[in-house]
Amino acid sequence: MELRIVHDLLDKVVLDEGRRNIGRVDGVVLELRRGAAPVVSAFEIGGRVWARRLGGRIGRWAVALGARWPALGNGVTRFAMRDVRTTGITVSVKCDGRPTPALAWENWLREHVISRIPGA
Amino acid sequence: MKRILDLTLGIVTSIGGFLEAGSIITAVQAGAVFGYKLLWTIALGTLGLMLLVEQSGRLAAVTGRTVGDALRERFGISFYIIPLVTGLLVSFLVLASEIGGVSLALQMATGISFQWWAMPVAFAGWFLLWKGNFGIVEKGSSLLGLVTIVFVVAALKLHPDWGRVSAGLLPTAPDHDAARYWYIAVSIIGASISPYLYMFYSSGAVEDGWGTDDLSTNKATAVLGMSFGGVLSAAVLIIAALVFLPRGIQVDRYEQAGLLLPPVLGHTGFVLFLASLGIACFGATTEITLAMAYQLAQGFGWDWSENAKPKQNARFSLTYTVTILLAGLVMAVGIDPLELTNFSMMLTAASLPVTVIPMFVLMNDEALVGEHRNRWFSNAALGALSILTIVVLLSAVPLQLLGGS
Repeated sequence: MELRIVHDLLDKVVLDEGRRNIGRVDGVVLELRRGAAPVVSAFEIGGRVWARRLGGRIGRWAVALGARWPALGNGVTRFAMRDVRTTGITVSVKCDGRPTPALAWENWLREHVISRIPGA
Repeated sequence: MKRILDLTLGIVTSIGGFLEAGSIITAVQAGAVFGYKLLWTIALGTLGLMLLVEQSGRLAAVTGRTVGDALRERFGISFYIIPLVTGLLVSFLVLASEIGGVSLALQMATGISFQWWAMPVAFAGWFLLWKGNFGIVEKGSSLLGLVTIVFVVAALKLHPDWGRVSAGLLPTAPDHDAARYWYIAVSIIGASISPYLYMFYSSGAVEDGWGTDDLSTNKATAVLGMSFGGVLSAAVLIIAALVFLPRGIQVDRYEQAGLLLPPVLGHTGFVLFLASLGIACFGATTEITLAMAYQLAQGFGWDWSENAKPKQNARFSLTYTVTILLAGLVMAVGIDPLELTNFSMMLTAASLPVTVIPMFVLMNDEALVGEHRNRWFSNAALGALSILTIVVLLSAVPLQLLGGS
């Protein structure tokens, strides 16, 4: 199957096996192989990953901010391409997204903030 | 039968939800200073909104993607960050002015300063979002918002000269206060075409699970709902032209707007004005707050839905909670609501190109909208609108400096 990285993969919503949104494809990892064409080996989700893509001064500033306060940006979640199915609109991965860093903030806020407000 | 009911409800909600602080205040100011002369800007703004609502609704119905989703997916994060940041910034100021509108209605009703009302109003809005679902937020306040039809009744009771009203629908140059004239013209465009409206509308279409069978409902809602809504704004302008202009009242304080209806409808008019202002601004408060949370959540691929329990989408619910309370705080510290409303309408107008122009690409992308992509008419209209938004952007800064006060 042919996959256009920018059109069909980058910036698409990532769904886990429970059909949960776990983020967007913030970056793509290429593996360079000696004597062969590079392959797309994985994609990544994470604030640091998309901040780097902004480029220029804003990008550098956002990356520096994330490095200074690691708690701000989630860690980076990486999915190997062999576990991925894509429709060109969304990307599905065969795993539970809940324990990944992509949902760390979501889980922490649910447990420590939102659940404590009556009526949540 | 259900389809007709849905259609009627859709149109009725867009009428009841049309007016908000910005459209009321800018229309009052326009009528009070320039009579019917600025009616054309309401017509133009309404046509622009109609176009964008139809296209964003079509996008959502055909692809299941909201405008926010599609912008990030098609253009990538390095572009999406621009409409995201400007959208959130502008919407936040508009949100604060809507909370100001509700608070001022309460001030006029009770005599207690709007500053004291700001946080309770923000809290009430939050409570509705926390406990309610999308249907309640969208339909509830819009149905109550039908009270704003009182403006049409009052305008008709004043027997305006229809010849002069229709003359106002044609753009003309002002014969006095040119800077002020164009300032209000641009503010009216900003008040009519707010990006939060079509962000909210396309997200609503996804919340309601629209598909291609809803395309006719979408078109009817856009055309009929927005036209009738525009008639409400026009009615406000006409009343101001007949009540304020002859008396020389130029609205430089919010409270003066409260004098709009009493000469026509007596004390009931005053009460109905307060109800209209309060309900219209409260509806807008909840919708803008949701629109902001939608835009952030969609941009970063979080789960979002106003129909789910708050804890199911923790980041989404936290976003609207923090947003609405912060906006309430802006009003509570005593920023002048009228100045903020005028300023944020101007800023809204200036922010339009970053969302309007990309719609071209989205609505012509065959991979995305397929056979439902724009035809020549929609493209020509969107092209004209894009040029208008650029002109508006370029004129916004000089006008803010010349005509702002």
